Parts: sequence; structure tokens; C-alpha cells
Amino acid sequence: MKELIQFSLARRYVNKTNKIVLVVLFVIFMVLGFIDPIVKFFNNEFNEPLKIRINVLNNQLFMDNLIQEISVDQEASISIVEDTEGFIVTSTDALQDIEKAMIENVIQNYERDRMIQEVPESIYVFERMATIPINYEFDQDDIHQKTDSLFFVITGIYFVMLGFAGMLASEVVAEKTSNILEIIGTSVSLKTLYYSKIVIGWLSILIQVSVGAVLFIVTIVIRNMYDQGKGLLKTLHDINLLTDSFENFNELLVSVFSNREMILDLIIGLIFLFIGILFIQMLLVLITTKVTSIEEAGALQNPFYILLLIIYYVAMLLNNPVSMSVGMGRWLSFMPLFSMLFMPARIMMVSPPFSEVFISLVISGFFLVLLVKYGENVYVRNILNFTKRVKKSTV
Amino acid sequence: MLEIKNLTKIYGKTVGLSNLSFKCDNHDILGILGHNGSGKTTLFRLLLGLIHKTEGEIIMKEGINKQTYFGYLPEERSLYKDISVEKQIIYLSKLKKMDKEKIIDSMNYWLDRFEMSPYRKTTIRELSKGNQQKVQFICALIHNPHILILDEPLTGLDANNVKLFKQIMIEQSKMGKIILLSSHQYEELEEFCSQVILLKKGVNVLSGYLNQLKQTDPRLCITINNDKEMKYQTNEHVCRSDSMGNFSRYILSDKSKQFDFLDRIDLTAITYMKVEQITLRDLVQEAS
Repeated sequence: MKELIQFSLARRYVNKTNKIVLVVLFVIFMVLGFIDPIVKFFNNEFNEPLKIRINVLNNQLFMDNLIQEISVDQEASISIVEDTEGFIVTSTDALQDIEKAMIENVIQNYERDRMIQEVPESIYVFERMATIPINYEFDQDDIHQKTDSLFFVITGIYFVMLGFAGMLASEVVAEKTSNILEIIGTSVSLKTLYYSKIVIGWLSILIQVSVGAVLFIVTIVIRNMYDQGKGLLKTLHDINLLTDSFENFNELLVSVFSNREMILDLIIGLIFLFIGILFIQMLLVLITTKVTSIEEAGALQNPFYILLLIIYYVAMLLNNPVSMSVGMGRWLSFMPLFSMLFMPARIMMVSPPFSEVFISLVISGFFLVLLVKYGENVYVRNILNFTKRVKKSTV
Repeated sequence: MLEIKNLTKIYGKTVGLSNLSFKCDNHDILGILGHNGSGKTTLFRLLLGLIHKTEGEIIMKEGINKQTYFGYLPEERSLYKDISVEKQIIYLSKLKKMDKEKIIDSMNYWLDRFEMSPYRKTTIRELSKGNQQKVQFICALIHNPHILILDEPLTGLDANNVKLFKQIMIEQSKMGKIILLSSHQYEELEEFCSQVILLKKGVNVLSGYLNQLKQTDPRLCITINNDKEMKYQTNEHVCRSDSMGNFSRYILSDKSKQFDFLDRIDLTAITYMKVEQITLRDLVQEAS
């Protein structure tokens, strides 16, 4: 089995194509790691001051109180209107927390100065400061902001899953169509061959994840040397991928490692993902053993990919706290195959009880073991199926 | 030693092989003959354990390791096309549990023997069909198996390589190995096969030691030239005649009548004559 595994992994990873893939991956990581200066280079408006329209009682005073990050532009999509009740901030898009904080800061400073000008008694100013009413009105609701990161995670998981799932099946198709199994089958038992395929599939995932992790660390180290990650962390915070703001990577790491609950959630999520990938990998391998040509492989695998797509869309559809706590999303998080998307989503969104996570994990693990055992017979029966080739000699 | 008793393989409603029995001793070269779909490859796959038998017995020496006991050259090209000759051989040898040193020694020997040393770094895809077949043969031989199973080994080879393959098969046989091979090139097989089995729809229709089969056959073949008209086909001793361009081949029903037949031939008109025992091709044609 050792030779089978070594050979398969070497064939897969020690080749020119893989070297090119590594370079491409590294470039992608570097682009993502330096996304803020790159975007700034191509789009000067990135990181430019927030533009606002104003309609207040004392325009000049408001302008005097503007901070560096905000500028006035009568074409801007954000409008601040002062009326007798207070201030109304309108925007075509939802505002990020940092933008709201900056706007509130400017309004408070303006209001304070205006009050001091009009009513110099300091106590009144302070009372007024504590009760400035600011109403926000958005054309687009910001309800999805909190689940933006979840959307990223689910989509990421789905595409990683698809990539890994197809890999092993392609190898089986290649072996079947090249007749190499007829030779290998004379040296090792088909059962050994089957289990080597499983180990190869698992190791491939670990290798690829490790390669990704190394590239990620290299990118972070390079970025750390550049500006200790300040610009990148600010960008991630600005686009809501980081809920808290951090000055540098060190600060982020301290925060991450002090949040044990988050690390645990992440590990559990990865375990579900890993089991899910193995499940799909096994299913695809077993489907592929029936294949006798590359053309057939596509025809057999496509419906399976459609099923995965359906799971993905269902996950997107049920991507809300209600469904994930009491609705369909909750029940699907216990189902093998579905749980790889739904349980990590639940963990991130509603923090389900540990017992539910454990039960789901046991169910997934049990079905995976069942599939591996059942698959052994299917694989051995179909991988060297020569029935079609002897049809000429009928009784 | 290899003995097969009543070996049967049925695929659903299709008979792959029916009640086949034979025995091979060391040094035997057994030619398995038959048309496409006659059950030759099924027999090989049964022996190799690639498929399971429906009935029957395969008896071999006790305590052998089946994985190293056989060397197999399949009919279809069964190689990774994108790797080098060297890598291909090393990988398949490792699967046969050979240690690295032995693999290198044996590989170097066989690459030299097959004049393939210059191609050791060449990928299989870049090789000619004949050279790919050589690589397959090396893979079958490298672990020094006791039984060699060669499915159509001579297909796609030029005359020189056919000669080389035959030479190696004879050498292996002299070393005490058993060789089972299938081929449609009957003339080639005839030169070195000790036994033959003719399969028809999975059934054994002719089998035995080739010399014995030929000697016990009462017929005789006479080939002459300058006889386009096949003037002697109506002779009472001729049971079959074939025209081969300028040559005619007559099969006499009884060897003892050859002189009667020769007496009636106009010897002044011919410059070539060959008198021979019945050939393997004739035996196959009769039986199938």
C-alpha cells in the first residue's frame, strides 16, 4: 500500500503543472495579502475621505468640524440633514460601523460648538450633547451585514469541497481508462487498492491544506515586514470581514488566541468540513468505478455536482438565525452530507448546544465509516469489470 | 506446475469459459488460440485472480506468493503514458515487493536486453507501439516470475522484435518457467509452443502437445509453384487446396499417398516444392 500511496502522491504533486499551480497560488495569496495598496494603486478613490452632503443650520461651522476622513461633496450619496428634531442621515447603501462612528463624531462636535455659540452655559451643552437624536435611513437594509462573513465561509467551504471531491475520482477514471489496473491488480489486492485510494484522498486534503497554510503564513510574514499588517487589517475591518479593528498582526493574534471559544468553533467546523469532503470523495469514487470511458465519467458525475449545488443553494436560502435554530437548517445540520455546510453555519450563527454538535458529528462519522465499508465491495466488484468485453461469446 | 480442472466462468448469461482443463509442467510453452471473444483473456484473468471463477480448480505449487508467481503482459497497453520508462518499471517492480537494488540490477539487464537503455528517461507516450510492448514485457519479467502470461505479446512488433521476443520466451522456458501465451500469429507460435489449446466460445475444441497433434494427424501438405490454375485440386488424395498467388498448397488426406500424388505432378513445370506436416494454422482452421 505504501508504494501505491507514494506513487500516487508523487504523480499528483511532483510535476510541472503543480509547480505552476503553486506559483499561481502564491501570486493569489500575495495579491490578497497586499489587496489594499493594489486597490489603491488602481483606484485612487479607495481610502479616500467619506463624501457627504449636508443641509444643516450652520454650514460653515459644520465644515470647520469635519475630520480628515470626511469631506463634503454635494453629489455624495450620504446626506446629513438637520431639523428641529435632530439629525437625519440618509444613504443609498448601508453604512459600516466605522462610517457611522465618524459621522456621529462630526455631528457631536458641530452640535457642541453650535450650542456653545448659541447658549454658552456649559451644563446645558452637556445635557444637549447626551441626547442628540440621529436617525439613520438606508435605501438598502443592513440586516445581512452580520451574516456576510458566514456567506464567505459557506461559499469557501463549497468550492474547496468541490475541488477536493473531484480529484480522486479523476485518478480512478484515469486508471480505468488506461488499463493500468489490470497490471496493478496482479500485484496488490483490489481491497488494498481501495483503501490506498481512501488514504490518498485524505492525505491529499492534508497536503493541500498544509500547502495553503504555508503560503498563507509566508504572505503574512511578508506583509508583516511591510507594515505589520496595518493596512490589510484596516481594509478587512472596513469591509466587515473583521468585526474588531486591529493595529497589527500581533494584536490580532493575541486576540485570536485569547478567544478559545472561537478557535474551538473553527476546529469543529473544519472537522465537519473534512468529514464532508471525505464523504463526497468516497461517493464520487464509487460512482466512478462504474465508468468505462472519460465521456461516461462526465455524464455520471454531473448529476452529483448538481446535487452539491442544490445543497449549497439550500444552505444559502436557510442562512438565517431562525432557520438555523429551530427550522429546517437545524434538522439538516444532523444529516450526513448536509451537515458539513449546515453545522459550521449554525456554529457561527447561533452557537448550538454542544450535545447537538456532538450528535451530528457522530452521525456523520458513522455514515462515513458505513460508506467506506460498503464501498469496499462496490469498488472491488466494479473496478475491474470486464463483462462488456466478452459479450461476443454468448451461449 | 500448473493444473486447471473444469474451470468455468460465467458473466451473467454469458459463458466466458466452460469446463476447461489442462496441465502444464515446467518448461512448457502453452499457446492459447481462438478468435476474439473466445475466452483467452478470461482464462488469463482467472489465473491472475483479476476475476473470480464460477467453478473449477486452479492448482499450483503450494505456499507460493501469487503476486510474484505470475508475470503478466496484457493485450491492451496498460501503462501510465505520462511517466518515464524507468519510473514505470520501478513502480511496478516495487509493487512486486522487490528491493531497490534488485530492481535497478534487473531493470538495467532487461533494458539492455531489449535495447531500450537509451529510452529509460523517455515517457511512455513518446515510445513507438513496439517499444511500449517491450516495456510491458520487461514489467512482466523483472521479478523473475515462475509463470509468464502473455496476452498477444507479438502484436505490433516488427520482424526483429518478434525474433527477440521469441528468443526470450524460449530462454525463459529453458530456465524451467511455464509460459502461457495467446496469439493470432500461428506460424510464429508453431516454432516454439509445446502445447496448444484452441478455444471457441469458451469451450476447448482442440488441445494437446503440438508435435503429437501433428504426428497423429494423417494429413500432409504439399506446396508447389507455377500452378496458378491449381491443376491438381481434383486429385483423389487432395482433401483441401489453397491458392497463394503463384503457389498452390494441397492437403492430402493420407500421408502414405504422397508418392501417388507426386507421381502425377508435372515436375518439369515447377521449380519449388515443399512437403510438410499439417500446420498449426490448418489444425485451427479445421477445428474452429
